[in-house]
Amino acid sequence: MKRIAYLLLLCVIIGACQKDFLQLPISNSTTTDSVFSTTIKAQSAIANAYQRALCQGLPYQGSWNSMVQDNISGALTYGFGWTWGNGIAISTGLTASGNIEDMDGYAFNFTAIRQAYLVKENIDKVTDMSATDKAIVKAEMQALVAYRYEQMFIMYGGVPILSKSLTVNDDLNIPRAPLTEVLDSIISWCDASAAVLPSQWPATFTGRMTKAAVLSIKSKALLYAARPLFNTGSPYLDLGANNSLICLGNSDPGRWQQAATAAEAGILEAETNGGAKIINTGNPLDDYGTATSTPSNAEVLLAFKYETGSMNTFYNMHNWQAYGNGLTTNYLEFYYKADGTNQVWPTTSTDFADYLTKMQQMEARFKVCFKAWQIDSWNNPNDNSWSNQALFQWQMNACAVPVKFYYKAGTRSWFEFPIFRLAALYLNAAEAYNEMGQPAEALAKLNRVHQRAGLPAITETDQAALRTIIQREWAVEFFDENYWLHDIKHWKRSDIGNGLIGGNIRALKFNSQTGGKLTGNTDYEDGVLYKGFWAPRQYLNPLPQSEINKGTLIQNPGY
Amino acid sequence: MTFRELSFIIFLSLISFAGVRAQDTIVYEPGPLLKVKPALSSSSVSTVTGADLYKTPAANITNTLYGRLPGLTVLQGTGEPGYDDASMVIRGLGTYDNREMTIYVDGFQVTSHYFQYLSSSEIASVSVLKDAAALATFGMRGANGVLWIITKRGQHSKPTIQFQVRSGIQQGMNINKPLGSYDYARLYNQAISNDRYGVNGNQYIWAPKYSNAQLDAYKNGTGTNVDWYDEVLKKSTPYTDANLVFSGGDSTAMYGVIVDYMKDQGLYDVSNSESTSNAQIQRFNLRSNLDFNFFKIFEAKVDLGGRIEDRRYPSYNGPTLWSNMALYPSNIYPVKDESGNWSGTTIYANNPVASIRALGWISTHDRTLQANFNLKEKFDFITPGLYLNEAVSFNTWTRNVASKTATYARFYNGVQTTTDVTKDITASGNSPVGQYDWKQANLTAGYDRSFGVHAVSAAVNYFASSFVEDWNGSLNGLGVNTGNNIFHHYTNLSGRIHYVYNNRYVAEFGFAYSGSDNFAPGHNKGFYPAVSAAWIVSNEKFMQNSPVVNLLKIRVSVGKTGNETSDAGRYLYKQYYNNNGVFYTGNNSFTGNAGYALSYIANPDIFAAHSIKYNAGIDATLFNKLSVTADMFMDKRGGIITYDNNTYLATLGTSFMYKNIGKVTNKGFDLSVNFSDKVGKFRYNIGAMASYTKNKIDYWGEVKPVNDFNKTTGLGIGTPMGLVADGFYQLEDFNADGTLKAGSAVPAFGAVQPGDIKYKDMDKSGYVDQNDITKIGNPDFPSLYYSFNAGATYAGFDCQIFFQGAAGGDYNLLSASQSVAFMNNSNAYAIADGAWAYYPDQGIDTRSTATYPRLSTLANTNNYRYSTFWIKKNNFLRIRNIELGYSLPELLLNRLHLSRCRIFVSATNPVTWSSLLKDYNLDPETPSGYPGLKSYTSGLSLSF
Repeated sequence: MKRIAYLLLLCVIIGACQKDFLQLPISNSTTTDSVFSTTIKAQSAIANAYQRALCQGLPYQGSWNSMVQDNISGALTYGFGWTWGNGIAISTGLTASGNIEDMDGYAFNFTAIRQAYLVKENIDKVTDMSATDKAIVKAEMQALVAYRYEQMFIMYGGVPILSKSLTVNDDLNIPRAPLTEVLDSIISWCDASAAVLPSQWPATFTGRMTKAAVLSIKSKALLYAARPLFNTGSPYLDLGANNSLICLGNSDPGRWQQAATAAEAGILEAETNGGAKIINTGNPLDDYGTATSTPSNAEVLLAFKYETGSMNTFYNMHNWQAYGNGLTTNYLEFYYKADGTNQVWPTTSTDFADYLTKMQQMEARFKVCFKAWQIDSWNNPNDNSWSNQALFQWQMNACAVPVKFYYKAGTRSWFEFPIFRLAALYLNAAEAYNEMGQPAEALAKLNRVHQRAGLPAITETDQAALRTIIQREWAVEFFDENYWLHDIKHWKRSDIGNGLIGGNIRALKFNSQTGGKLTGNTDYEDGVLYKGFWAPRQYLNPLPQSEINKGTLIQNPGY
Repeated sequence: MTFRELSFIIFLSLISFAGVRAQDTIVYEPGPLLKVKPALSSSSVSTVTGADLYKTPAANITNTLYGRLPGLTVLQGTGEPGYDDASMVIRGLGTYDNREMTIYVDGFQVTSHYFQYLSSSEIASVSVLKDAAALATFGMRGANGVLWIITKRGQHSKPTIQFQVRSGIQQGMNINKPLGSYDYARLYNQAISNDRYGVNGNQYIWAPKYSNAQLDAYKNGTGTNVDWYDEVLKKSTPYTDANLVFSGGDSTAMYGVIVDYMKDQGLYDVSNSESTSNAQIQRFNLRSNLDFNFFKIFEAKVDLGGRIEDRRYPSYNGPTLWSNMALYPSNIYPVKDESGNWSGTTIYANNPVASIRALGWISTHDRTLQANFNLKEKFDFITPGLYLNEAVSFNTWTRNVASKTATYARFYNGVQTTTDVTKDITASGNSPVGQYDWKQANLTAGYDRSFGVHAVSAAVNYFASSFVEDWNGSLNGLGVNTGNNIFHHYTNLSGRIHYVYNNRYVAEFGFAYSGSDNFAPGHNKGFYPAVSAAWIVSNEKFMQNSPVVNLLKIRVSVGKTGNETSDAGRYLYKQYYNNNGVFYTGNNSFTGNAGYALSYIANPDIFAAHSIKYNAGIDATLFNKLSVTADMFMDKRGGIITYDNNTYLATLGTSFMYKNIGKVTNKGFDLSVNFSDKVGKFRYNIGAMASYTKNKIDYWGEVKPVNDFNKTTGLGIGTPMGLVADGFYQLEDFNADGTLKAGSAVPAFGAVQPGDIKYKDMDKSGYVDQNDITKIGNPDFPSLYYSFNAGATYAGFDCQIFFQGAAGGDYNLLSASQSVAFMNNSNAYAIADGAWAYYPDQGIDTRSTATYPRLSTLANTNNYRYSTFWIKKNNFLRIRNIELGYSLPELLLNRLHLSRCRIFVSATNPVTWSSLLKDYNLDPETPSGYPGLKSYTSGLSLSF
């Protein structure tokens, strides 16, 4: 029995040791307790919140089948046959189980929002940060949330509103909020953040949220609220009792006033405290090139900065991902000649010399954005890596290929996508004033942008005619900056299904329509490249079917 | 040993080679804690002896197990020396999560790698523990079944020495070769012309890349036409193994010492020299199992099992080399350029011949040692039958890598094509690349006693295990905490009590109380009980002297086991942040701010998945000639760790939670039948076994799809989902502008053209998209796995033949790169010759006979997607082994002072019957990459 007693004793000892034996050993992995312990560590969480929030609409994940937004707006060809752009542009359009323009997916919006809220809610745990700095971090995070909501508002209409990071124990069955509520939330978050955020950051932190940036978010949201798609009582397709998810319920001209006021407030802050300005030195090519390409230039209010890696590959013509992009004639026709008149492109076979002549006649903004056939890039003059020879890939039919964002970039690896430029606030104001019947104010704002491009001032005062001119200015000034696709939808352009997104998508074709060559091109003409797909349901994006199937959310009409 | 004894041994080993009569050679049923005679067992266990495994000459022990054990499905992998393990599953697929079985050697757990390179000469028996009764004591490591290996020990006998050697040649089995240059170019012309359909205004216009003159040159042999397989591979390659077994002992000490050597060479046609190497592995095993009895109460065992594995390969080897051989067209360049240099281009940069001859070699050296010490104290003086047992095991493995590498310049048409230059061979350092150690301890108290008609055998055991590795790579999933969680701690308190009444009624209770460090403290232990019973009908009075029924036993068992390992990762209860993205700030020079983001939501309640196993079985022996074992089982898995996609909305804004929510039901049967008899001196036997399993996912957190037929819940694990193919688009399906005629569904995968695969619009939405996917076939895992065999002996001659087959699985042709022609500059195989094409002016019109979609040089998202078009039945039958032997007669043996001498020849995998092989030249188990092996071997076995 003694031995059995020993045995029992042994079991007890083993039992006691066992507790520690089965514990998680010490490791250097990051847990909630450690991530918000010091400023340095918290900065990683802050960086992630920025990265996730500001990447919206950009092919930053570098998936091989990604696209740039203008692949599906009719400005550029759809890219390669295997890209998402191909399906959306010519095959099935946007579908609930297929591809949407929001490349990271609907769900990723909430990943970005959650990360921002997590930082906002936990930053107080950091021990070595001042209360002022913590308040700024919280305002930054709320501004990032506002940005994501402003983008979702434009793409999806009403979406579920979150004011904190959710846990699995919260009721997650949050329905889509009406558009008005989403708009009100964006405005109140922007106002609150603007009161706290700095006007400028020290050099190393340039790129974080400023007052002017958050006022730009507010201005953009109010502009889209005033535009015809939402500013109505009868939506593009009827959703019955849920119409409030896709329109604001009435047509209120006062929304243009709000948009104008918000734009003016943004311009004032940016120019007085933010150190921003419309770059205009009298050299249009250099001014517009700098404004759209140079990192942290005086015109950029918020940018997504990216170094090497994946995203720039879709914008930089030195990478195969970008080789599929070509300018369509539909979009080329928005550009002016340098003298402010319109260029005419032949629809029958014409000598190639005519192409060279006409291309050289184009306005500076065209030359910053594109490289024409058999002409070295205008935007990197005398730079061999941007020469006709260097950028040629293969024979294809496209008016020209995009080289925007790389003005005098040489072999620079970083890439800065301008999310908000001061010029946008000017056009916001111009559009709002024109709709309010104040052409003089509209022209004043419009011409700051138009004349910077070296073009003669616009003098048109007829509201409808000026509207067309302002819309054309949006196209020309903001090519490839993720405006056009939503602009034409929110303006409810009558030609959206016939020459913008849908209908005949045209391009200049070369050498008996076989495609442009490196050298020795003989002839060219304008012709139909493919038929674009358009259906009215596409004014807004679908929510993913897998989310709808969980039973809480209402799908946008037509999907 | 007399001749009669010898022939009895041969006879025994012959009749037991399906494992079904292995009871004849083993005294106790293999398994933990108790020593139970097979006849009195209530568990479901099947066993095969090491002698049977030795019949198949194979470098990796897993390749000797095909069809040997009912309930163990063994599927062939590659034949690459050193990486040639077959995949093994016990009783089919019970879960979609981790399916690794637990492996024990001599009572201690080992890694799969340790098991793989044991020599069959070291092994006494391999058993599969299948039902709840057999697995009762394994608790949280039992759900996927246990492989229980016992190594050879010394016997109480005169010293004996056994020497065995065998040697043979091996060949690659069923290599699927591509088309030659002529056919490649001929079809390429179609593909490139097809790709211009859209550009040519939606018409097929012939636009060949290769001219008729070029085609003629390929045809008459003046053009480049390289068979890369012929250039890189040898016809055959040698295999050798040899071993010496010393054993013997007396009442105080017994020894079993085994020395084994094996050398397995690869198929590459390259010499082993200073600068080059064939693929090869040399293995040196040494095992010393010692038993001591002293002071009456003590029994000690000292077991050392060590080995060295030396592997060596060309620097450029494995899957990429085989992929190059498969996918580099025959006409790209000759092996050597006209300048005498290695050929190479930027697209086809890695000339397969140069890859094995001009880049040097790489080697690894593995050292493994399992050292066990076991001490038993018999406390019969306290009460008869009481004992204590303490045991420890230390198991350690290290791997070092060393290499000598060179580079070579690539040339094409006399011009250097890449920046590579020819460099002499240089030696790289010798560096460690991995190691583990595994320390285990066992403490047992047991009791064995019979009282009249009652017999009781019981034991309780405490087991603690600490497995420590350097790096656990992907084990944690999602890149979370990668490389950190290197400790695996586990404890298990278990017990068994086995009760027999009058040799007729058997009842057993077993349990385990397991704890794992994978789960939150306070919540990391589980209790796993099992009960079983058996009725030995043949021991009842009414049957005791039956001339027909020699043995009839009915068994039932039910119980619970668990699986602490999940492919989702470890420590799922802990909230982690992981590196995610970089945000840049700054003016002219960017500052990269690395991001940290929340990973999946921690689940404090996460726990091991469990399994409830039900089993009913019967063992019978009739006429002393026919033996049958049959088992039916059901395995209900629950709490399978599953990513819960269904409960949360995206608004949560993060990866969701892993939860114990998955459920799978797996049912089936195992059957083995054996018959043996003799006619005069002619003895023969035939045997067969079959395992059938069918599983169903009852729940796995699937979000309800758009259409009911999209659902995967309710289907078997791994059921292929895809579109239903409906022939090919024909010219008349299209309008002049290239769009599909009204009324036909539009595919959502890019523009289609005549000759593309047409799919059914299952939900009549007007579009063919992911909402139209449905079950398109059976999982690739075979539902029926079987073998049958026959053997005979006559006057010193013995022969046997062993077949193994599988049925019920489907193969997706898209899994083999050979099925997709031309894409990414790749090759074309015979399957592409059936392509749809319409070029009437060239005399090409396969519109009505096509068996393959129109060719393309591009990635085609419409055609190369999962659909019924690519799913093929994959039933097969192989002859796994044929052996012919001759044993010298006793008279001669005596003169030679030998106790036994046998010579034999054998063939492994000589023949395969398979529809996949017949129709598509694809081996049913190893369709691409390094092939499986067939071998022809002769050998000699001597005993002194």
